[in-house]
Amino acid sequence: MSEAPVPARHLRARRIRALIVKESLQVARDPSSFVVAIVLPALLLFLFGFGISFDAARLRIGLAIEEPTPVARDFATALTNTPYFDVRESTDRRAFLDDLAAGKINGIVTLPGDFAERLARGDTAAIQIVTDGSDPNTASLTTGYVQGAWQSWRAQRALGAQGRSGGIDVEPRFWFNPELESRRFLVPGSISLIQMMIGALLTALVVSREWERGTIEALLATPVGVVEFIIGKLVPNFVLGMIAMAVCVLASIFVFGIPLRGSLLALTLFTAAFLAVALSIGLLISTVARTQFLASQLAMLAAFLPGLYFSGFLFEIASMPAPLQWFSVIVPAKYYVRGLQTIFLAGDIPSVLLPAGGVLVLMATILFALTARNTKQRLD
Amino acid sequence: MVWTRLSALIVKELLAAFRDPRGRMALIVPPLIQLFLFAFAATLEVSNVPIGVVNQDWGAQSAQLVARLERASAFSEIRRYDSEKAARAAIDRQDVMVVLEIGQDFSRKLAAGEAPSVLVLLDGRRSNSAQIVNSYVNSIVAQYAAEFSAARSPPPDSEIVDRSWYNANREYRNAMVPILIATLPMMTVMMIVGMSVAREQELGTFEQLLVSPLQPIEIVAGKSVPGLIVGLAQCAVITLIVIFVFGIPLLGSAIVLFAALAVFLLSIIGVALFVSSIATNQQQAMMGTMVVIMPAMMLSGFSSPVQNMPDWLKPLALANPLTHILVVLRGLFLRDMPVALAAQRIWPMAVMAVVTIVIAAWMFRRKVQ
Repeated sequence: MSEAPVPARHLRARRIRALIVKESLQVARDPSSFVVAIVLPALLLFLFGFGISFDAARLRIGLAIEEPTPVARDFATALTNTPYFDVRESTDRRAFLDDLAAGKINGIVTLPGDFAERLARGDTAAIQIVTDGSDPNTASLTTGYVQGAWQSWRAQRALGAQGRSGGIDVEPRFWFNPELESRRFLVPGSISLIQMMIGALLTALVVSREWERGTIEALLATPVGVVEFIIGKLVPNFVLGMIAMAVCVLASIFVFGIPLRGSLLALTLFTAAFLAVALSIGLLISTVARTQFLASQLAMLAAFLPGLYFSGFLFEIASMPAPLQWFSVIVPAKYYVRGLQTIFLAGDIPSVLLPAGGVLVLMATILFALTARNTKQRLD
Repeated sequence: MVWTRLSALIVKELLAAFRDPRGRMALIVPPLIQLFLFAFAATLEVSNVPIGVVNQDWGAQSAQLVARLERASAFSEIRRYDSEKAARAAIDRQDVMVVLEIGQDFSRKLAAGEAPSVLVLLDGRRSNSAQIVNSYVNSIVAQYAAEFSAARSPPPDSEIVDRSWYNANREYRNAMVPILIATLPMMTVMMIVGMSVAREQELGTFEQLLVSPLQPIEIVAGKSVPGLIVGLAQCAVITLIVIFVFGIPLLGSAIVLFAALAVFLLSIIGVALFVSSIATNQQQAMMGTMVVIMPAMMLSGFSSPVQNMPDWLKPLALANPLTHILVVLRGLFLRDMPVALAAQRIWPMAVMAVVTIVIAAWMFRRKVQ
């Protein structure tokens, strides 16, 4: 009381600083913060990097040759020589039926007994494929690869017979990801899930804990204002998110060998904007939910799941029904993932980054204003 | 005596889960939203995407090929670009994911019986979808080429007869939706069981439970049974929705299905109890749950087949109860899986359940001492 009166502005700065220090200490003391900032990002990256792969490994097929004629053997060799299959052979299709039912093989290719005979007669000889439709993706791949092997086998036979191949060569060229590793787009996509978890889930938990334990009433009695309260809660989690981001970027580049073609500055700005959105969502949830259980359920539902389904890194938004496509417009992760994939794999392309970044900043502003209003109402 | 104590605890736990209306909603609404979201949003098919074309050829054949693409149901529209440069910029902007480039001499070469080449430019930022689109383009071009040459030379000497068993039209929904009967209750049960122990620890009431006459194994049972009841009820509701709303028939036995689900849920409860026995507050329990659920989901064949994983990750997938229940679910729904085959998948889950529950009881006992 003996100090000279301090201007209100300074007091306010001091209060915010004190709050940030208090919150940061609380975050730093709880080992689960460490889990969130370092273990979870590393784990998620690891899983998306190694555990999930859309790059089909060797497909297991059973090949039934009912009559081992030279021409049938010739086709069998063509199939076995492709890098896509692990082929097991038999003379009877029935030998494979149990394996197909048990999911041990992906499909059965059958060359009927009259295969050579029909070919010799000039009839159309059938090659039968049966695939396990319970995994549609793998089933289509199996058919596709058998067809590919069959086409090149036919082309070779035609070449032998007539000396001319015909047909059209299709030459695919994948930009930004010529080796076609699914890891290259899965890892940047998974970063958005990590940021959402830190931003929304952790923030929602931290604030609803104050409601649940009643400590927010104690805070009410102090001169701390709404905005100061919000800033005090947000800053430590923002820092946590940025640390997690650094872990992710280092792991992406050095462990998974994903190129960072854009600039670090663009990456940082984009992440900051997205974190601001995620933090505001978390705060907004905590003003609605009073218990941590409810807050975590809401955070999963409002933040995490839309980020998983509607960010475009796992599922193609254009293939969804129209109402879901409209809904995806308000999912922040969609814009963040678009930005991340472009910054990592393509570079700083302004025509992608500026609109996406603008949307994120706009969302953050709206959500922040909403949260400030809601928190004020709850505190009054 | 044991039973009165135990039933009192079970009733108390069930009341705790259902008393609060918001908590009640949290058990019902999120799984339903997820069920429908997943059924409609989670498709790996690609359809309705625009495709870009750079056609530098003035002949009739290239126009025919482009018309084929226009009619294909996978593509919503054709966007024409004058030059490769313009097309490249369109891919950069993500206006299109794929551009077909047809060179000047396409029609001339095709008519002359030579093999012209076309170039397909794809956006590797989304290489999964791009690969699927590439396969569509390939089959359209191949079919066009086959018909073009068939008109000039004798018909093909052999053909592929392609058939799918268990799911004749290879519909994603039939393969994906039954899986939710296990994944959605798994999340609910992990949250209920994990958070309830952690909440008691945070509020200090767990100590009271520990000094009561209840044995650690009774506490474990008291915390497990409500989770099992809620989980099985969710399984039943989702199964009915899958059968009657999505029209996916259950070909196998319902008894085997629920026996497998019960064993699966017990193994999940064991894991949840273990996590919550380590955590000291709800936030830690929540984070621990996430650390367990995510790998469980991703290393299970849920989003991509187990056979695509590197060999050193496969043992982890086999120790994951979700891997086994997914095989049972797909088996029972799409192809009347024999009981013997299902049993091969049930016993690993039973082992997991026993191991995790015993460890959790041991952890609780340690807290008493």
